Amino acid sequence: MAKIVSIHSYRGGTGKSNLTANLASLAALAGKRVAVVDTDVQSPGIHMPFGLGEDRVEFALNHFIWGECPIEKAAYDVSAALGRPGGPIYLVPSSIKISDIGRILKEGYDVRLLNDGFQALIEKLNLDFLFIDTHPGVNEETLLSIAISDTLVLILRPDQQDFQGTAVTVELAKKLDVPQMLLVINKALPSMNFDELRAKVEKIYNVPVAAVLPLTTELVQLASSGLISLVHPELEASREIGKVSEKILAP
Amino acid sequence: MPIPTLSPVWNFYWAYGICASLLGVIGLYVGQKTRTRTMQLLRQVEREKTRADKFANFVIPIGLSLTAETNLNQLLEKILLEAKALSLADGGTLYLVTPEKTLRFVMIVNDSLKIAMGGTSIKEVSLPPLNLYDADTGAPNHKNIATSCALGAKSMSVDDVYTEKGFDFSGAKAFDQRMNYRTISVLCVPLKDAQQKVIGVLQLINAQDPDTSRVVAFAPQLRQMMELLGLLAAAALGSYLRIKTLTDQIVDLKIQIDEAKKERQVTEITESDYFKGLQTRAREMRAKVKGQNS
Repeated sequence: MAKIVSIHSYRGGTGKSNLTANLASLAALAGKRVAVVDTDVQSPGIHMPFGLGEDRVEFALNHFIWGECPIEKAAYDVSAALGRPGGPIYLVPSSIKISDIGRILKEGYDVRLLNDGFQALIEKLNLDFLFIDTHPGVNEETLLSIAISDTLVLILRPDQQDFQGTAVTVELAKKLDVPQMLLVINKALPSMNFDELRAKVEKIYNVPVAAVLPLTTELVQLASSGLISLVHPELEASREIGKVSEKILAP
Repeated sequence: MPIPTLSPVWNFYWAYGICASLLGVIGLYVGQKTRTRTMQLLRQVEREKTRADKFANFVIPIGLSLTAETNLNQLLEKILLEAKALSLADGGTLYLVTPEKTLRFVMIVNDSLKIAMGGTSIKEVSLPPLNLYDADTGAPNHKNIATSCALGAKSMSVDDVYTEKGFDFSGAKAFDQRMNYRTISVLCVPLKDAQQKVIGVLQLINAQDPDTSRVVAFAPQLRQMMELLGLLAAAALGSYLRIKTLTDQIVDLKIQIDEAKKERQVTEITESDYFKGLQTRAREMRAKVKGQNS
């Protein structure tokens, strides 16, 4: 039975896509068969860390939604990005063409199609793990992703708006009986007391904080270059991401 | 007996001799005077050069090193100790302005008495703070040199506290009596932040002559140098306090959840037909998975 992992944040710019790419890669390196779906149709971005160029993308998630192709046709093998042997990793990107983004925003779509797509993908590619990079905020699509997830990873920055928004998402996820919920605090200022921050957040949400990632110039530069936990495993941030991965991979 | 008279030739020699000696003495006197003046000028040039060197080689690097300090106690200690070392003062006190409008003693040092309280030392300063304003009348307290310096936002110095009439030095005098010490010269420099707000006062006691180690008054050049150091110290302190406040806000304030707002938003979503449908399907799905696994 495949495990569905959704990575969500209340607001954009939290580092959600980057974390998704890293977690999916670590699962593949553990020998799992993995796929990542970029459901952030409005502002796609996860193709970047996997090095999937626009020229290689003939079909995207958008085309599946419009009934133009089966979902597996929009799944690209990006295992080469791992740089070493592991399980296969596939990516279903959202189209980065402005016209496609415009069309999906204008027309909208039946989110139930997504669920059909996920199930078909799991079956066709014989997946162990399906990672969903969601759109920030709460809408029908994100609620669906949360509802079907075995694990929900909520990523937040330590600021007022994220704390408030995450409280809403946690409450909704609890009502949807998500079996495993993990919090990841990103962009914490190095001058903060991480242990205190972790303890306070866990107490407020009653959800475990799986990782606290610092905000450093070095990390910002490295993160944009790709899969940080694979390229720089020596960094504290990589070790923290590793802890999240362990929790997800645990049977 | 008739007094022997000298011949005119001898008279001439006598007169010549006396004049030459006189001229010699005058020459010697003038030469000495010129030499003294030249020496004084040279010393002044030397002092000016030392002062310029101190500005470039000490004050600015100290200011820069202060900005790199991330521990408040170490920063405060560095400000006081560097100022004391640079001015060759025997002692010093650092005060911070509190929100209650008082000057709080944060650190006291005195070399000859071997005293170090506050800063990174284990001994706390137990002295009560100085009121910047009279508790009853609200009038500004210009009685103490430190409070007056903070209120006027300008540096002040006193050459000898025992002959000074303008300020009340009863505290210093009591301290002297108790410790068998003699407070003589005092210099107070305000620590002003970028908005020209006084956030503290740096006070130095008993400047010493570099050659004789005798206690002297704080020279005007030294006062100027301390004012510059005070500016740099205040900038470092201001920036530290700003970052600290920001961090405290992030950790303490921003973790507050508006429960009423959260409930409103959650209810709005959970009462929608879409959510209810999703909830039912999710439950069915999980029950199915559970059934398959068991």
